[in-house]
Amino acid sequence: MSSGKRRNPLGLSLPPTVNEQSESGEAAAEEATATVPLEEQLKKLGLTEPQTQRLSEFLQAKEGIKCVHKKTGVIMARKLVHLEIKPSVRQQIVKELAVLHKCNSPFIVGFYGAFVDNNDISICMEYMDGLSLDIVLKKVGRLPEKFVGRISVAVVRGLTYLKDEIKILHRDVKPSNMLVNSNGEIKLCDFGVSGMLIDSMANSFVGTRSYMAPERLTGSHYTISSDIWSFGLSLVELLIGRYPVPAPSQAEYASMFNVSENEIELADSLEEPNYHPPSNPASMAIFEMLDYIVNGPPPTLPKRFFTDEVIGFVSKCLRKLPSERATLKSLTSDVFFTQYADNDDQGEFADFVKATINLPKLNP
Amino acid sequence: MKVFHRLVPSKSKFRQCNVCERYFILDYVRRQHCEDVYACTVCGKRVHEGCLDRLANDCTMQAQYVGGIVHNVIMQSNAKIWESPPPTPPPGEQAAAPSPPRSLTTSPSVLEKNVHTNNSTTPLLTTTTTSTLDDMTMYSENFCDDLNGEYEMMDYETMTWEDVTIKVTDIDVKQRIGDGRFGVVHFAQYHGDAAVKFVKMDYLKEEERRLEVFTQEIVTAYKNSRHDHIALFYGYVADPLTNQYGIVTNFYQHKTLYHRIHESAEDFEQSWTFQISLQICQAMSYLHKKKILHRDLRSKNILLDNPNRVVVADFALMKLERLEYPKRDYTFCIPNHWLDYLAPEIASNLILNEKREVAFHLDLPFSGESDVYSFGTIFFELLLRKMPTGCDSWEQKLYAKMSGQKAALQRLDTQLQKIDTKLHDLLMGCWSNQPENRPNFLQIVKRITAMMPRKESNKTKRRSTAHENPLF
Repeated sequence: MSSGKRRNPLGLSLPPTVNEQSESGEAAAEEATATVPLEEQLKKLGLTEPQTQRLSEFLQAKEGIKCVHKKTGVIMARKLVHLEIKPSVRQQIVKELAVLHKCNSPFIVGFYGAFVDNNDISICMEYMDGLSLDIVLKKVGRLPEKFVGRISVAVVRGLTYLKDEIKILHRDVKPSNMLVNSNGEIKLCDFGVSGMLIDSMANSFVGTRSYMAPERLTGSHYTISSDIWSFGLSLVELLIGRYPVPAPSQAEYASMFNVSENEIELADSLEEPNYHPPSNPASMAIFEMLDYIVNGPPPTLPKRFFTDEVIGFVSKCLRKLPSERATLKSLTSDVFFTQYADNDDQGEFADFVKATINLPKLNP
Repeated sequence: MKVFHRLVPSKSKFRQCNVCERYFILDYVRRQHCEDVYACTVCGKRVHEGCLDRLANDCTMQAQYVGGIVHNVIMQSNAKIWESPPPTPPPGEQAAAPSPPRSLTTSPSVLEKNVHTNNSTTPLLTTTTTSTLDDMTMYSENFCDDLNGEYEMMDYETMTWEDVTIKVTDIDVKQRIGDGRFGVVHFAQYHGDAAVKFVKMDYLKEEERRLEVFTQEIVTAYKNSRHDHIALFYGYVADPLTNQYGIVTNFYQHKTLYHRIHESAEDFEQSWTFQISLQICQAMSYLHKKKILHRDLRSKNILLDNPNRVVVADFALMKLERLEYPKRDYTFCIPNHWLDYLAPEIASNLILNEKREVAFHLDLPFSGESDVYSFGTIFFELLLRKMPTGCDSWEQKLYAKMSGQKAALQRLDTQLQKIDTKLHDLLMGCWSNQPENRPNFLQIVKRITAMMPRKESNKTKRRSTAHENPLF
């Protein structure tokens, strides 16, 4: 892993709608994908390094990122990465991406292969029909705590797998990098595998929301704690349905839950006495948003509208000082985590995902 | 004596109407009476469209414009020497045109250009721009056409001496040679090698405005640039039907300065660094003199004509609105390394609206000083052969910039010690957080010239004059 840092280098956002026509044939294919274990699918495809080049011929582009491997009918997601770099570097990136073949975890999106096609790099991955959680969130407004609990368990296990088995940090934890499918599975994607890819992509976009930990903004070294911050911020976003920077005020929570302001009691937050919030929160500069992450108080959840367990869980993740923040290990023994760790929800989350697939986006 | 105004559409918001004395900006802010604004290119008067009737015909001529008329007359009489048929206005054209004040000149072809763009003239027509004298020199290409017997009636009407329009059929567009955030560059044949940059105008949803904006904001800037170190402008192609808007320039085969600095293995001497910096600053002080801002000065927008000579290209294209497309959730695409060149006062104006999306309709406060900041970054690249920030994420770059850190310099301190303190001061001046503390390009030219050993400066002179303007 190179020292490169990654903020959604693929600039990926999934298509907002799922293919609705030609349902019959596809539904069957999806059924097949869902039941055959990933490893077997990979064997069937035989997408080893030299052969990935030929993959492009087999792939039939569907709308957005969804593709079908023509020979086998396996549905996969393809990301196109356009890079203005030398062909040799492009090949090098494809080689680095091969590390992804090692990933074999129920919490990590499966990888089929990568190939260079003209100036673009195509990365073929397991297709997750529920798409990413930011899209789900746009459809349902906010997620119930029980689903966020399941998501927390999956993400913590996914991050632990990446750290312990693959020896990499994710570096870009956020709702749009958490994918779900109609089997109720929750998987991580877009983690920092190829340093070369990161370097080549560096700086070709600016975001309007940042999940980066305060210590990273001020230039400290990247550690797992930074991923924990991003994870905590994502959880708050899923729970309240809005990007939580700047931290929602009592008034905002009141209008969010349709109650009067004095019914909102914020969980204790670390005081930031020297911090003056931006004068006009309705329109803030991108820089002010970053400055808020560094100098402002971290977001907190209102009591009674959320359980004490989840409030405690996110506040452990959202400590400004990395040394005070929870670790992956300490999170696994947290009450909120154990509550959802091994219980079977009887397919409730799977049903939820299935129901969201055909929902239109809510108007913001 | 009645003296008619020479009116062209204007975008100025900070003036008031000379007739009703309302400030345009107020209309704009209140979103009422959003009428088109016209400005006289001779006396500078500005009026609402609705106030045109009440505008007195009292244009005061300026010396420059008189010169233009004289020049125009000479050109026209020259045309007759070459036995061109006399220009005739298309039937009904004059009658059909609304009756805005017309210009002094008598040629129908010029008349035609002075009416508003929303009349029925062909889309390939240009609107004449502010500097009449400058327009006059752009005739050589059309000359050739006429002399070669390719002359057609239509050509004469749509392509006058001062016209820089190139018909789509006259240019042979070949392979793609480059990709930019704002367009695609193709190799082309136009009386020899040429390069066409097809500018993406799709960010304007109203298709009918694209040509207007393209000619007013982009072509105008290129048309007025004649400098040895600015990409030589041949003309433009515009075809609203196929949505193609291209700037045609000389073809420069030695790639970009970015490539030379960062991608080529070849070494270069410090004297070369000075020479190149000087050329860039000369071109930039010329552009600023002409009131043209580059807005996107990057080493990728500087082309090498030969190993020792650069030309500045791709100016006047940057607009925040252009960055809105392609649309993506929560991010917007920027040109590579853009943040490194972005002056802090501009970076602080990247505003989010209540939906937490970038407010693209706000224009960024580009200025001469922000161009100087960008030059500072190029200067850094030339001195240290690397970008000031590495592969940091956009958040880190933006945060460091806005908190006044010049992180790169701290990190590279040891390398900088090798550099003369004068150079260091110059660099810090260009990178000053206060725009008013930055030197202007004329001052930078002086400072760099003073640093150069005498011999070197002579050599530069010889080299750069060796490449004459092909017009002569």
